[in-house]
This record gives sequence, C-alpha cells and structure tokens, in this order.
Amino acid sequence: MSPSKPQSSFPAWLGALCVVAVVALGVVGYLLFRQSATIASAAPLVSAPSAAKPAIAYEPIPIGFPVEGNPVITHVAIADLDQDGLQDVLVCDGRTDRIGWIRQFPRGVFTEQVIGDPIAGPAHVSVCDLNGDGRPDLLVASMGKIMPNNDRIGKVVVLENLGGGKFRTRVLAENIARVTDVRGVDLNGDGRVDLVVGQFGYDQGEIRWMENLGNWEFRSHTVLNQPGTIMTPVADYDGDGRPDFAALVSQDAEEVHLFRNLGGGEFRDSVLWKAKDESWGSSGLDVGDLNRDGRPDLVFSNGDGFNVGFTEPSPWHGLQWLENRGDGNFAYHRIGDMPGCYSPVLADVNGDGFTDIVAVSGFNHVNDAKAVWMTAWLNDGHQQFTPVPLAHEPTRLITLAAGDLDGNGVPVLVTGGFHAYPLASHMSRVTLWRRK
Amino acid sequence: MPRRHVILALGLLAVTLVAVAFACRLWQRQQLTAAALAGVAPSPDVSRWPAEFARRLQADESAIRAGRQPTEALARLATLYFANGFATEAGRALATLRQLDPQDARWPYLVADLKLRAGDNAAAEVALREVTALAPGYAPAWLKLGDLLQERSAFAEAERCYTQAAAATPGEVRAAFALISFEAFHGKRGDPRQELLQLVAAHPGIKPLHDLLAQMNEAAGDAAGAATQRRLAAATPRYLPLDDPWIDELYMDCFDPNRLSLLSGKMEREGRYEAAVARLNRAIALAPAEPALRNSLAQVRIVANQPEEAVTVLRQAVVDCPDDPALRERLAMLLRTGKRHDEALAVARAAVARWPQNAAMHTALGQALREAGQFEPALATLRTALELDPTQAEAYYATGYCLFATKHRAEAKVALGKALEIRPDYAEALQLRAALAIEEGDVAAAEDPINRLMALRGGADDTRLLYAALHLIKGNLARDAGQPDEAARLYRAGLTVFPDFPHLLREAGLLARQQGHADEARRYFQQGITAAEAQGNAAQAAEFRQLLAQP
Repeated sequence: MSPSKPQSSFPAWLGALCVVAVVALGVVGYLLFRQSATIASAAPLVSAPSAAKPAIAYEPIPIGFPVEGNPVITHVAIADLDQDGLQDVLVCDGRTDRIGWIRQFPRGVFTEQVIGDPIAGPAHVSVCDLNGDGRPDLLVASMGKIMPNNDRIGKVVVLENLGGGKFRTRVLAENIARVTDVRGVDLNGDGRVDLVVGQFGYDQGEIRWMENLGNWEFRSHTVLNQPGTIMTPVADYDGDGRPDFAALVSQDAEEVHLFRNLGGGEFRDSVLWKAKDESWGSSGLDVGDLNRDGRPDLVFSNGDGFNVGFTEPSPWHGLQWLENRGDGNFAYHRIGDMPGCYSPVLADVNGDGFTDIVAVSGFNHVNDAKAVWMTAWLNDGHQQFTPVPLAHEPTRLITLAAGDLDGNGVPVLVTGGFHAYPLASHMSRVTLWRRK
Repeated sequence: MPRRHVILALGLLAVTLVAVAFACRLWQRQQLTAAALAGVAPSPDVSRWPAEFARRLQADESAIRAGRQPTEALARLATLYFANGFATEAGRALATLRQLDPQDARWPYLVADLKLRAGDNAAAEVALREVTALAPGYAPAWLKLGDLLQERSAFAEAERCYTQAAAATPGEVRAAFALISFEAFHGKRGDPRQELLQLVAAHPGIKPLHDLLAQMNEAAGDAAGAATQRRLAAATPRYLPLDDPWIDELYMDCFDPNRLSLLSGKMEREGRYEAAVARLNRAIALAPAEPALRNSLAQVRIVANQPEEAVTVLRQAVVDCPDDPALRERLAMLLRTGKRHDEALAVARAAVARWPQNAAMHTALGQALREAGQFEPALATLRTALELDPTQAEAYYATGYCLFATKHRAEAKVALGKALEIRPDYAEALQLRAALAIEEGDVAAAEDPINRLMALRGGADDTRLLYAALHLIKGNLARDAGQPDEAARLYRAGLTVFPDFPHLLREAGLLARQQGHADEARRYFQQGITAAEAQGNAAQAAEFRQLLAQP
C-alpha cells in the first residue's frame, strides 16, 4: 500500500474565517481600549487657576483716614479740587455719612479732611463749577440710606466751593427717591450748568434733569419713571454736538438707556440693551472710546450681590461693552466673567496705546486667598481682552477711579472698601494703587 | 466535510457576528459619547458650592465619558448648569443637545431663555421659533416670541403668536391678557375692552389687568371707570402669573440660595405662594443661617394672608439666626398687628436690650407700646428712636398717633407731616392726617391726604368712609353758602364711593326734598332704610322711615 498524501486537516476557508474572527475581536478590543482611554482622559472637575505671570502689577498704598470699624466707602473720584495742579481724591463715606477730601500736597503726600456738613448715605460725588465762580464745586448724590429703602429720603446736595478749603452745603432737592448719581453739564445750551440726577429709589425711582435757572434755583424735569438707576454718565453719544446721557437701570429692569438730547430741554429715551433676568445684578457703567473710533462707547458690569444679603458671587457676573456704531446704535459684546464685578473704568493701564478696562469685585469669596478683587482687562487693540488679576486683597471693593495722580501719564488707581456685610477680612478704606 | 470543521466554522462565524455586532454598537456608542462630550464645557470651580452639586456634576460628566446614556447624562448636566446660572456651561451643553436630541423642544427653549437673559434677542428669536415649531402647544414659548416680535414691531407675526398662546391655554389669564393687550394697542379686530372686562371679572386683583383697563376706559371717555381701575391697580401688588413648567421644574436642581430667593420673589409677586414657599424652603435648607431667607418666607406667608404661619416662621428664625435684629423687628410687628400685645412687647424689649443703638428696635418697641395703648412710654421710646435715626417714617407716624391719642393735636400734625415727607404714600399716616382734618372740619387739610389715599387704596372701607365724610362736609358748606346744586353734586360724589353712608343719604335726601325733587329724596331715604336695616341699626332705620313719611 502506497503511502497516501496526507489530507489537509484545516481547510483554507476555515483559516480565513479564523482570521476574520480574530480581526473582529481585535476591533472590539481596540474600541474597548479607546473607550477606557476616553474615561481616563476626564479632566479634573475643578479647573486649576491660570498660573500665567501677570503682564502688569500694581502696588497698594492705603491713603486717607485709617480703617475704623467696617469701612463703607460707596464712591471715590479723582479731581483737582483746590486747583493746585495736583489731582486729589474725593470719597463718599457711607459709615460716617461724610464727604472726604484726600488732598494731594505736596506731590505724593495725601491728607484727608472732611468737608461740608454730614450727608446721609452719600453714594456718588462729581465735580463741576456749578455757579461759574471758577471754583470746582462738589455734586453729591445722597441716598439717605444705602441699604434698600423706598422712602423719599434722597437729596441732591452741592458742596459749594468757597475757596480756602471751605465749603457751603446747599440742598438742591430733598424728599425725593434715593439719589445715586448727580452730574453737571449744560443740557439746554443756555450757558448754565444743569444736573443729570439718577434716583435708584427702591420700588419707586426716577431719572430727572434739573434745569439751572440761576441763583441756585433749579426746575426738575422727569425723563424716566422707573426705579433702579445706578449711574448716568454724560457724553455726546450721537455726535450731534449736544450732550446726551446714558443710564444703567437695575432693580426690576436691568437695562441700559440712552437719553438723546433733542435740544430745547427735550430728550428721547431708548433702551440700548436689556437683560430679561432680574438676578442680572447691574453694578457699574462707564463711558469712553474703547475702540478708538472717535465715538463714546459704554462699558458696564453686573456683579451686584445686594439682592437678599448674600455676599457670594454668581456665575453670570461679568463685564460687557456696548459699541457705539453711531446715530444712537450700539452693539453688545460680552467681555468676560468676573465674580462680583463692579465699577469698570477705562484707562490704558499698560501703556500700549490701547484702552483697557479695570474693574473691582464687591462680592467674592472673602476667605479665599485666591479670590481676585481687582482685575485689569488688557485690550489687544482688537477689543479682545485678557484678564490680569491685580489684587487678591483687600476685599470687597465696589468703587474704583483711575487718573494721572502722579503727573507722569501713568494711570494710578484708587479703590474704596465696602464692608457692610458679615465676613470682614482684609478690610480697606481708600487705597491708592501704583503700577510697579 | 468533517463534522468538527463544521462546528468550528459555525463557532467562528458566531464569534465574528457577535464581535461585529458588539463593535458596531461600541462604535455607535463612542460616536454618541464623542458628540456628547463636545457639549461638556471645562468644569467651573464649584469648590464653594454644596458638595451635592459638585457630586452631581461629576456623576453626569463621568456618565457621558463612560458612554452610559450620554445624551441623557448631558441633558442632566445642561439643566443642572442652567438651574444654577452657569450660562456658558449650560449654553454649550444645550447647543449639543439640540443636535443629539433635535426633537426635544426644551433644549432650544432653555437656550432662548439664556439668550434673553443676556439681552441677545436675535438668537433668542431663532431658538423660540424652533420651539414653537417643535412644541406648538407650549404657550410660554409663543408668549416670549410674541413679546420679542412686538418689540421689533413685527406686529402681524406677534399677533399670531399671542393667538397661538391663547389657543394653547384656554382660560389662562397670562395668554388671554397678552392677546387683549396686543389688540388694544395694535390689533384691528374684536372688542378688546369687553374681553378685558370679562377677564378682570374672572381674575380680579392683578395689577396689569386693572392698569390696562384704566387706560382703555380713559380712551373710551369713561373717566370714573378709569379712576376705579387705577385705584384697584394701586391696591394690588400682584402681577400676571406665568406657569412655565420647563423652567419652573428646574428649581429642584438649584443649589444657589440667592437664585432660589429671587425666584420665590417673582412667584410671590405672581400670587404663586406655595411655589414661592417651596423655593424658599429649599433655599433655607441650603443656607439655614441666612436671616434674609427667613424674612422672605415670612413675607410670603403674610402676603398669602397666613399670619400664623408667618409668626411660626419668624419664631423659628430668631432661634436659628439669633444675631439678626431685623427678624426681631418683623416678629414684633407681626405680633402687634395681630393684637398679641404682650408677646410683641416681650420681643421688642428683648431686641432693644440686645441692640440698644439700633433705632429700628426702639421704633419697634414704640410701635408695640402704641398698639398696646401705652402712649406715654411709647412716646419716650420713639423719641430715642428718632434721636438715633431721624429718617424713620414709622417712628414719626407712631409719634403722631400717640400725640393724637394724648390730645396733642398740633404736635401730632407736625409728626405726621414729617412721616409723610419721608414717605408720601404712607397710608396709615395719610389716614390719620385726614381723620384729624375731618374731625376739625378742615376741608383744605383733608383734601390732599384723602385724594392720595383714594389713589393708593380707594377700595378700602376706611378710605371710602373718609372720602364720603369729606364730601358730606363740603356739601354742607356749599348748602350753607346757598349753593344747593353744588351741594347736591358733592353729596352724589360721596355716595358714588360709599352708597350706604347714612349721613350723606340723610343730607342728600333733605336737600333733594328742599329742591322739590321728591322722588329723588324718597330714593335716598329708602336707601337709608335698607342700609340701616342691613347694618342692624333699628334707630337709624326708624329715623329714615320718619323722613320718608314726612311730606
């Protein structure tokens, strides 16, 4: 018997089937691996704060009276009150119900004195020569009480500058809804400085302009019957040569208004922007030419935590700007999130020729050393902004001003501490910030 | 073919098919997971939020990464972020959900809400159009779209939206009002005033309804009707309710007491008291030491006319938040207005002892003493209160009241004047000032506070009584001055507001008879009899019968 050819025990087609099965299992294995990799690649839930080195830094220097009790500084402004060529700092102190003048003299030396009579709940101070005597007077918005109240306890007060550091208190309007802003400007072109008055009130508030009739007589004209006005910056927004004014209106509305001056004491109100969110927390409005197109833009913040006494920031707090596109048209842009954001001001803080924004935080995590209480938003020249933390203390800042206090063209910042709520830590009253 | 080959082949085939099926499923799941992951924003810092919130975020994010029902997990994540105000994170998740789950109208609806909150009306309109196409029965979406379209003067489309909203929720006041309001200002069909009258009758006490009806009455030349509606509008703080289940239901996902408190305030204003209480209870559970929340809860109970519940809330609140003076003040106020004088005094005295420099505590004690009839000690306490803070309207009012009660009328008037300077709409002070003037027959001094009271709460009995009394005095003066027609007009005006005021009915009847209007006189006396009988005043009824019987 001849040896037979060995018979194949494993046919080729079966081998191919084996290969297919192995490939299929391989694919399954790969997919399982990919899935486990996806799960493993989960980012940490709490993102780490940016460790980028700040592009600029500021050094804090307390000025004025020392901290006593819990400071309640509601507003700071920069002006040369005594016309000595050195910029001074003006302070609304809600704890003592006084206006402070932190005089700079000589350069770099700041000394505070109280001016005028007590003013209940001073919320805002601005400077203008109201009576045309060549001396800057102070326009003070008196809320009566800083905390919520619907009573007619507001006043429009002028501290008339008599020269020699003396001031006479004049009340131009009283028993009105709580006043939060007063600005002086000739609105009707009669050569006399009129007043734009924002009245937050509570359930009832308004915006009025007060026509200067001369001899300290004023006639009020209401332009808005609505509570919640926080600020009323004045500028020629529509470029027609007449001063207009904007208004940040909070409370039930959360709106930015523009009152266009039609001449002859007539104003047309339009809502430039509105958040349909009663918890939005409007907190500050400033005017300036952010994109250098020659038109005044508006920068505004939301970061108010006054609603029910909580002092924590909310995730939607932040900063935005309304780009003035001419003829009363504005475009909204969100700049970024910032907890408890307050009091934005425009200034070229890093000297690159572009207008930056600095804002403070009124409500943040007081006991968190990483919490940021002042931030510079640096403009890359294309209105893209990079936040740079400037301060991790002091805490609870709701007012900020910028000005050339050193006379060298470098903006100096001034902040005020508002410590009306529990958890006081790292308190300040008035702080001057110089660029390092 | 050997049998073992067949078995092996079948086995391999089965393995291959299972592997292919499994791989397909895995691949699909991974595609879905990848898509869902695109909706997960970098995690925000929630280290200071409640641990439960962080845990839920973590769980949902892990579920998405693991591919365990990633769409559902992303939906949970989106609503969690949304409910807590994380707009950026919620927006990203919702944008992805709109792709993964395009038939669910909730996602574009929540997107629209985020856009509206940030003032981006154009994007909100796009999202709302999507919602109304997907869920034409959801009225809140139609209403919001209608409002947006109306704002940009797209009236024809807005009208269609309001019509759809009303059709989707027949009988519901918000949608019906939106349509009527639109018709009143821009519409060209129907009789919106008649429809509004029916709506007001069905839903009285809602401010915007009365406000609109006042405007429409005025436009129709009905000044009296307009005034009535204005009074009703002024007397109610209630706004239109908007049941918006897709957003309302998310409050249980909210871990922010501040936000919950704001939501409850909105619901309180809309008269949705139990919903407001539910939100505040959740907020209190999250922040048990926050006194403002307790105060808000008590406020809801008061507005909902549940004073006992309000007292219970405040009693517990002063235990849980012992360092808050405002809670004691509120509790004392509630107790004294409930005539629980001893309890009110105890609470106020304890508060003064604890916060001797707090003006409001002294005022609370002064008010409690006043309410208890202890006017002299009340005056002493109120003096202290006003020395500490001279801007307190309540302290001036209470001082005025005590001075009036102790027969120091001139000083009382001064104090009331100060209270009204600070708070021109202080109803109690207006009422007392008016009563003082009426008692003295000082028409000029009574006129202003009564007019203000009528505007503030013209429907209240005490206000109507003062108004009628003023018109009685003015009518009598006109009659005595030989101006009977003017006197008759004034009596009628008083009776329009208070038709059952017996003194007015008597004088009006006598004057009518004197003027030879016998039928009119009879009507007044007859009305007097009816009113006196209804009040159970037999003597007065007898007097009117006697007048009626006289020729």
